Amino acid sequence: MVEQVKADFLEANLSAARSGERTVADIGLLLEGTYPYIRGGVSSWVHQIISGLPDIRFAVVFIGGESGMYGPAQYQFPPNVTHVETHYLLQGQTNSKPGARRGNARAFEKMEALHAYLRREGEMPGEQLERAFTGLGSPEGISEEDFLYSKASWEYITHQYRRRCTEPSFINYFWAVRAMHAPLFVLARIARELPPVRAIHSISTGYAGFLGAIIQLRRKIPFILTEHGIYTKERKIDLAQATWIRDHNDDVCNTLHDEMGYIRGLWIRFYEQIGRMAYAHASPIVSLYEGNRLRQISDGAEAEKTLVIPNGISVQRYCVALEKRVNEIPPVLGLIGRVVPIKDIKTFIRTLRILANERPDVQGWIVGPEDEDPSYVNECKELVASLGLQNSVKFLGFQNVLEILPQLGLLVLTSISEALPLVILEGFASGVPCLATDVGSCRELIEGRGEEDRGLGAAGSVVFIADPEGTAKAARQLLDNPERWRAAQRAGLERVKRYYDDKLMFSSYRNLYQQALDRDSEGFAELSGAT
Amino acid sequence: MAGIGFEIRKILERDSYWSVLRAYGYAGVVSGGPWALSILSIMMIGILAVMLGVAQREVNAFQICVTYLMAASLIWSGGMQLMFTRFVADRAYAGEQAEVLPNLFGALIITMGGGFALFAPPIFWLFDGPFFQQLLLLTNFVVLSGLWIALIFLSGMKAYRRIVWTLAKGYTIGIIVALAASAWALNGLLLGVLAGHGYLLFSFLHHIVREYPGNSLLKLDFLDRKRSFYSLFAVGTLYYLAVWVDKFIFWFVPHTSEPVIGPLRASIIYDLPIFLAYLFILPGMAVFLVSMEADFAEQHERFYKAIREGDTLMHIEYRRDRMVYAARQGIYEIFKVQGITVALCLLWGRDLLHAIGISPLYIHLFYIDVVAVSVQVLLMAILNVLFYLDARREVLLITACFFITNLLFTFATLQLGAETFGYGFAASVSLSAFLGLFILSRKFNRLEYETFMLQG
Amino acid sequence: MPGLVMLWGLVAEVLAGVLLWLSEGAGEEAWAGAPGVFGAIILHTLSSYFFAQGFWRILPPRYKLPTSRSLGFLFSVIWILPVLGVLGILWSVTAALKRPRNRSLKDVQTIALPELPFSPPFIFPTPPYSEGALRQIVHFAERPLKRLKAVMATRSIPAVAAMPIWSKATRDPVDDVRLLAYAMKDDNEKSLTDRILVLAEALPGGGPHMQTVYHKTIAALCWELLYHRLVQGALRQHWIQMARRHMEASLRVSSTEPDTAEIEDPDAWLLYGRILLESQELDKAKAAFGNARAGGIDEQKILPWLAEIAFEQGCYGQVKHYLSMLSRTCEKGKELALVKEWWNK
Repeated sequence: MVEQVKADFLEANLSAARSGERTVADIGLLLEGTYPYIRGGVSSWVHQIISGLPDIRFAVVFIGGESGMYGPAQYQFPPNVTHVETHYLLQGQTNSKPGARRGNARAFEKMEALHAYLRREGEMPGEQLERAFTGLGSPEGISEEDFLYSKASWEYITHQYRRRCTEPSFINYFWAVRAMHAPLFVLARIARELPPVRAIHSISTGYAGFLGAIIQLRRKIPFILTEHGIYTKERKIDLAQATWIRDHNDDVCNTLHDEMGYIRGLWIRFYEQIGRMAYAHASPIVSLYEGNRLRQISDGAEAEKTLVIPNGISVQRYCVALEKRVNEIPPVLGLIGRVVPIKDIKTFIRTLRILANERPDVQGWIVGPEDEDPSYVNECKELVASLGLQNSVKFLGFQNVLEILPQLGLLVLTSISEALPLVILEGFASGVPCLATDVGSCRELIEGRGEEDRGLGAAGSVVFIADPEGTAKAARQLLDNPERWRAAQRAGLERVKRYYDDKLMFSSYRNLYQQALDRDSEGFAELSGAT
Repeated sequence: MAGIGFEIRKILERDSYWSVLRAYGYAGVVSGGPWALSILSIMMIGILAVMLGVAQREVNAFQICVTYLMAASLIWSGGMQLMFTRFVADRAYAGEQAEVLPNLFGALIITMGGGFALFAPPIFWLFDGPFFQQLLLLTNFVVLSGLWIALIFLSGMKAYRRIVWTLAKGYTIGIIVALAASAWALNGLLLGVLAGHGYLLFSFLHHIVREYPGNSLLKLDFLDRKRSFYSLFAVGTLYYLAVWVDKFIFWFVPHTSEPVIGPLRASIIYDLPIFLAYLFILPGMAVFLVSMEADFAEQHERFYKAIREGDTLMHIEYRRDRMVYAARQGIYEIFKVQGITVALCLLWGRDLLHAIGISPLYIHLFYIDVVAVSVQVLLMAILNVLFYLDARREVLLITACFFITNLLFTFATLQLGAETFGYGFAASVSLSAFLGLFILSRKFNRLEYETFMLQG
Repeated sequence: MPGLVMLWGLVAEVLAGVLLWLSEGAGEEAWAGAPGVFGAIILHTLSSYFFAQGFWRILPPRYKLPTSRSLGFLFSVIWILPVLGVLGILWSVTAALKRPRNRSLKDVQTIALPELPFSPPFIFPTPPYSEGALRQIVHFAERPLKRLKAVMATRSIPAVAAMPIWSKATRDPVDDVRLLAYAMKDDNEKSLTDRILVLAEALPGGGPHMQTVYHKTIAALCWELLYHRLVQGALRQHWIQMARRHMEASLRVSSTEPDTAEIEDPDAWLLYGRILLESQELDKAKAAFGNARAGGIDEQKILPWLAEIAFEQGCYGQVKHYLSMLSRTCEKGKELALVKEWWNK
């Protein structure tokens, strides 16, 4: 069957070549803050997809915050990456000095209509509004200089402030509006200057998804959206907490209220809206597991466009690790993942504190890169010191998981948010049961999804987030009870072999891409026929 | 830098005629003091010296020398005055008070040392008097240049009584030393002026040094491109050039002037009325200090505070209106008080000239000069408001206009004949003031837009 | 030393003056006096150098460096302003630098009356929620959004009251609620542990007095963590131990005999007593409270804890005794009020 697909592909490529279209790649991957600069679940997944589909040419478009936030590329590009570009949203592209200008008042009027549409939930803007929207950053629409310096822009912002803003501080409103919209001009430029590709694939909503929507509108090429986490949700949590936004009410009100400041709400609505834009123009919209698919639908994705493609791993690859295992259960808890707040490493450390009281031989290893959030890494190390765990908790840094997994007795994941963590599958394939918080698809992975899957048994335990007591208890139940442990190991092995082999994932994506590229050539044929 | 304005306004708040008189008296001395007191004291030295038997020729030479020294030192230090004022204000705003002192010494050494190096060759080359006289001229110039720099701290000081007292002492010393040394004729008189100005320079410096303790003796940070504004340097230089260019033209055009000493020439018909007229800007200057440096400065501060501290747009606009009102009120008050002064001069000018023994031939020139210098006070007030709004380009445009029109119009009056003398300067300053008003009103209209959208 | 150098300067300047005087009288021709003038300039230069050296030595130390720049400045001023420069530097630089004006007067700022806010802030006529209601909503509300809002509303209540709500919400079936509750809880804990760490790092560097203060503050912060119920279970034990250790270091007592030390800081003893009570060291706690009392803490403040100790020890008669002495009016409905009422029945 694979051979057949491959042949189809070559055929498609050939037809594209025949039609004379010059593209730098088949699929343009839009990546926000991940591959190839940041290691992590999403990045390894991207790398896996690119490597797993060697006959498709990929363009990698990275969108980051500021260039200082990223080090060198963390991955070696496979040969089928034929084009790479890197952009930074927070670095204004215009070096132009501020100068007074009138600005295109008509374009701002159109913008008002677009904003009005966006405010009404559910409805999607019509064709001419979309044009106002794609005119962003171009001379006929609103150019970046117009947005930043023009009198028309000033009139528009003050008008909106007078009409809507309930926040008293004008300067806060003004800068929020600026900060919010400045990246859109960078995106518009990326969309304008990206060399031709045949389809685009964004690996999140947010700015990357929005960029996908702009490209889709401008070029009428297929736009695939895959979401690992739910971007909008994560942003909302950040924003609800963010201390850089000051709520006026907090200063003057001491009663209990759930009112959010206008600006906080503005930011949240902004991310909701750009997410909705991405959903409106993407097809299909892929999620990793059922929970997230439902979430996408409730966030505005059309149900018939959504589908689930779970992650997979190369099970064979981990046979080595399985064979290396010794017979007894090593008293080692391993947390494999980046040392960042979302993984809640601290709860892992606290769990170890409790375990150390009861079973002093238990070790905790934290395996993962420590370069993303150095201050958090420090906090964790200091917590280890202050809890007196220097002897039982080790930070091993980035390691080859094939070496580490055989030495673990339990894989622990204390994350407060996850999608479908590959590391659990890797653990299963290497014969390590897993202890994970009840987030994302962790429960599905450990306890099974359908009736049949659940029949395989539990491959570990699911615990509450931020619950060291419960986690320690669950860990001891598995470590102290070899029978239960072995049952969990068996269930994990069987589950990963049956449902999460990467061959399944590759063939799903191969099909998706195939359909998209077919649609593209049809679209191209239509276009060339029309002219 | 508006410390003194606030202090003086406090006297006004006591609300009696005596306090009003006192407040404006102080304000007049502080703001117009160095200008007017110099003119007065030099006239006085001249009159007293003649009474003591110094030859009229020597006294004339002395007065011309001092006038040239004033003009040259003002033009030379004008740029630095403005640039350094801004530097000090920025440092004060940034809370880096300790930076002020070393940079003040830096500004002084550059102005004084540079002035010395630049003016020593022409003085020694062009004057054929004794070495001592040349040295006196040069030293006088250097001290004056330094004094103008030190005086920019005046409006920032709060101790107005001490300032007035120091000014009085300085000019008294100048007069006494000049008269005591009048036996040496010109040299003695120059020595007196030097002593007076030297006392003022070092006395103000003494106060400043004690007021702003620093962390080192000498720094040249104010020359740093990132921290200072060379456009302000150009504005300062252009402004003083504009103020003096008509006088220089009259001094060096043969049929309006005569040689006095060395290369220096004077224009009897032009000089006396204009210097006399400058005495009549004191009321306007006093109002300027109280209304601009206090009322407007306060409203300006509140406006930017409203922006910084996150007020509503409506409140920001309200504050803008208040600020515009304060500026308008200030300009209007100057207009009023200078208007009355002009009217009084028109009424009693003839008697005045007669009383001090100046030929009534000068009367028309005197009238037009009083009008011109009154408008000059207005222009100064407008420029000051624009400085507060940080409209550096606009100010440069206005001063350039002032300079060029004064140059052109003055030449034009030379062609048109003696009855038009003085009208060139008056027309130039009025035109610039109108231009300033126009720019100011435009600036005010788009103030929030420019403040928010065009910063950085 | 500076005096001698200045004397040399003075001599050179006088000589320069004399030379200039002589050359002035030398003749009427233009260049007759030139050698004299030249000599005078050299002497003046020499004099300026000596004076600059002399003045530099009497400058306050911080104005001396960098040497070449300070010296250069003094020299230039003295050189370009003959005689006058020396007097000026003497009066307005060296003398004035030594007597900076009192800054305390300058620090007084006159501030104009602040204006009223332009638009009134929104004030809720009745509070939308109460603490108890929030707990109920988090427990029982059907709609996730409602639970989310309840968690959001905890922003304006103290951590100690919000903690039970957060704990419940981190077990919520909906991701958003969990995450928000987690983030809020984590923020609170983090801000406290951060401060503890900063102090713990500063500890070894401080003098003995500062160390005592640091120990006390660390103990108080640990106590806050406990009091706000931000830590639980085995971790709670850990933080109690830590608080105790630092408190003891602060009070300079070994944990075996708390009552030998002098009572300098009764507040610290009070906190120490509470920490001991929390770690169930009842006798020591009682002694620590005794010390706090002896140090001058109001007995009314201590009574409830003494009652608690008595209760733990099973001396119920004493409990009644202590609580009957308690004259403090307690807020109605609060725990202490209820307990007092029950025992005094």
